[in-house]
Amino acid sequence: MSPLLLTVIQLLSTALLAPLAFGLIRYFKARISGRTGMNPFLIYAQLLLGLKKENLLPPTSSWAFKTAPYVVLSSSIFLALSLPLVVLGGAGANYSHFLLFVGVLAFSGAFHAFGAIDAGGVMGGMGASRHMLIMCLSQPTLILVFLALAIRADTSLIDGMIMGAGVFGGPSFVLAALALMLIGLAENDRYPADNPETSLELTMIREAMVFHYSGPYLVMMDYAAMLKLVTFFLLVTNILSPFGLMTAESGVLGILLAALLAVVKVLLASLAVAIFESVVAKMRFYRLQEFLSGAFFIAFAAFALALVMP
Amino acid sequence: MFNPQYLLALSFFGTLVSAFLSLLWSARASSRIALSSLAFFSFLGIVAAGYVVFGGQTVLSLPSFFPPLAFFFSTTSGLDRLGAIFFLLLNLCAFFSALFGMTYMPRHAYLHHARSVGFFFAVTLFALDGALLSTSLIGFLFFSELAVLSSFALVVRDGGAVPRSHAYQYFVTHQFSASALAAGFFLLANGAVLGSFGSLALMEHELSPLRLFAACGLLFLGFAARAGLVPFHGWLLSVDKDAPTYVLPLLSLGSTLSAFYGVLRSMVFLLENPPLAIGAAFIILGLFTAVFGALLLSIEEGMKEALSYDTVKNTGLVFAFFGAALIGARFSLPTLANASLFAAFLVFVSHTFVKSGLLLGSGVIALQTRTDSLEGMGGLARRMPRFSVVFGVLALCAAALPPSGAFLGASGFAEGALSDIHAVPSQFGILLGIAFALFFLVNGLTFFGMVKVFAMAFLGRPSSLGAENAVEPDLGYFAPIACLALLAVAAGLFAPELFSRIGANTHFATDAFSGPRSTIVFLGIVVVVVILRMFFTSPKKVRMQSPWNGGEALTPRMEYTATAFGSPLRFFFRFLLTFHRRRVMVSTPLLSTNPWFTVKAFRRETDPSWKKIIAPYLLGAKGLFLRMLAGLQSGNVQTYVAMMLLTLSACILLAL
Repeated sequence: MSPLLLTVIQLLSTALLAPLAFGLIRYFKARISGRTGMNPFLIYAQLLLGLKKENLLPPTSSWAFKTAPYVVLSSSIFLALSLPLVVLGGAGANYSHFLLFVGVLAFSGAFHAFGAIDAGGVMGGMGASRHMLIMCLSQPTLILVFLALAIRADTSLIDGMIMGAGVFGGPSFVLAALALMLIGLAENDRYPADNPETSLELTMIREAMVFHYSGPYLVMMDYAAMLKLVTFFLLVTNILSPFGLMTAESGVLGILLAALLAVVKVLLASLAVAIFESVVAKMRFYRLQEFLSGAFFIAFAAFALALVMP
Repeated sequence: MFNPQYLLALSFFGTLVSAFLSLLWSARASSRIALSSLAFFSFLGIVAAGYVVFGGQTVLSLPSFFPPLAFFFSTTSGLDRLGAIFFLLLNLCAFFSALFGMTYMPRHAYLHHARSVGFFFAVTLFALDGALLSTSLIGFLFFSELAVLSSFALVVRDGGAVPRSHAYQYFVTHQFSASALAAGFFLLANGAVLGSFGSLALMEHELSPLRLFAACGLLFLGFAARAGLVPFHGWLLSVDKDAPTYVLPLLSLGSTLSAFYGVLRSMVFLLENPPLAIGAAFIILGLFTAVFGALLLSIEEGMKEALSYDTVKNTGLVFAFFGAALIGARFSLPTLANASLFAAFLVFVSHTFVKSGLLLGSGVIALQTRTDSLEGMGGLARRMPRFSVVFGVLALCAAALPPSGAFLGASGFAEGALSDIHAVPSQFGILLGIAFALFFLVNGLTFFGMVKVFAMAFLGRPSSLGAENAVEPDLGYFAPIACLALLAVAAGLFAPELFSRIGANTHFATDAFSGPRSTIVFLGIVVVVVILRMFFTSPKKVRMQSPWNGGEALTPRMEYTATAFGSPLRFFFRFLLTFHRRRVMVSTPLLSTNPWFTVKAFRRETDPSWKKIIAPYLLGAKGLFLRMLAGLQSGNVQTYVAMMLLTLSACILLAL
């Protein structure tokens, strides 16, 4: 099968799975706390409903407010296209350089912050400041995670790193995946860095940033966040267990298996996040350095292990 | 027939002619004429240097028609490709500054001593060009000194009491640098300072290791002071703050570029076996400077101050890369050495354009808003959308986002270091990992700082009357900044080609180098944005609506300020910022008889950082001494016993 077709399949499957991941986390969290919970598929309807609504623009906003949703969503689409999420060796594999991954995340984060501040409200600046801080402090950790993997795989493309990865590949893989998991939680504004379901200004990060968005712009921002979350889910699970990914040699059965496995991986990751979020408290923002430092030292240990145990 | 030699000579001596032209007529007329001629001659310089960089000729010497200059310019050598690249960067920077100045100076002649500013600006460019053209050590030192004197005169002549004190700081730092460089060259050249840079390579093998170390150490100190590495960075901040807008790029970047050129010319490209400790010093001080600069860039509220710290940060990064190149050469790791040089090269090429554009842009903003504080800006993107896009591009390039030169530099360094990491001892590999982490922490902090600078100045609600009434700048202001933004983006695309032109090996970058890819990705994102806009934008579905704020009208005072934006960073890195000069509030009573009615003002702490570190210990020691003295005087038995024990211990130690 052609790599381009494989990449299209990957994009479609992640695009479809993205809202489900959000819905599943909400559902599992409700079930864990003894509530019935919303149907995990209802989120698709919510997104479609949002598309029909009006875009409200603050009178003081400029081009930045209107451009931000497009750039944020485009960046998430790039990540879903280039990284080995469901497919290995797809058409975007050559663009899965780990620094490009970090660079595109930062690019998206910058525009997200621009959009938030440009609304001229009370919340945007606060959320943007916090989000930018998390991004800037998690960058070194992300780089170290991928450096550890790059040393083992002898390539700087994430696609190549995944090929030789796996929980039995050595302790450096496990530590790298653990550090990536922690950074992924912070990057995606989940517990313990952020409470995605709150509307208290003291605890908001992402919600504060999209506070003044509405209609299709809000849908784009939300959908970009979902796509990014599912990207991290699949990336971490693939580092731990790269089993069942589609390749150019896969037949129809292989494709079906890979798609099914992607659903299972997202399901398990959503359950894990829901359990984690149900048992830990949100950290005070000014204590986040401890969490991020912990992730950094785990990533550094992975790097050191990769170096001394090649 | 076209002879690039004459073009080079015309450009070089033409700058001196422009200097004298600025003294001839009235302030307005002279500034216009002198700056036009300076733009013309620097353009000639760009063409001549471009001929060497991109053409077939590898060396371009000045025509030997003026014998007295033979002392500085030998006939055997001239502007080679390394020198030509720096010459090109300097003249590009001067060209756009002069174009900007042609609009700025006639309108603000009443604010500055236009004639002397024009004169010293041109002399500074002449001297900096001379330092690059001169191939002898004495010539390099002479022209560097001339550049220092003219820059010093520029700030002193133009400013009041505060700029004068800053100018003296600049002067003293650069004199220290000149002394260290002179001593270093003297040692390295074995006394033959009239010789050329090339002769240093021959001398290296004749020197004892100690002497080589001392020479390299002195050169390191000299270039560190000239470039503005911590703790020699004070002059950089003051110069950026006090000089007229259009001369800022040359003042700020001239010394830095000259220092980078000196390091490359006299150490990195020359020494076959550089001392390991010097390489380590480059890396340690470089990374410390980079972290310090990036951190302060993120928390500063003044736009020019933030930009100055961006220069400090980039200087640190470039020095750290130079250090990695020296260590790579020492351990025979050519890929690491090349990748480090590549990264240094990309960082300073990109920084030259970005910083020039941002400094000129900050001048435009200050003219419109009448303030340099980010707290007094805001909302400019709505008032001047065209200019805000250009400034945004420059800010994102400074934040090392793809596809900027700084991002490609980081990628190249990572590629090179990764390919050599198995060849280095694991202890050194772990140190390399720490350096990597610090390097990307610096990148992250810069990203934070640059997003803050752009967002606080351009987005949200206007926070002052000036910001509310701001209008798009004239073409005379806009065009040079827009061209610099284009060059900053292009630097990322063409810098690898420039790098290969200086004869450096770029093989490490051929297989998995992400340079072209990042450009494709960036263009891909733009294409997706356009497609999405087609799908999602419907004018019928857009309505203007003030943000909800619980019934209260929103005012700029409710917005997040630059201070608040940086406060989490200030908290997280408080241990590093302990020694930073803080703003303190000074209350002065209006009447000496009534302490309750006061005038409050903020000012920077003036005490140097070292004083804060040493003073408590000195005071503690003084207190202890006085207490002991008092104890002796009052006949305290414990004190006598303690003194006896101390004396006994000292005697035993001495005897042993």
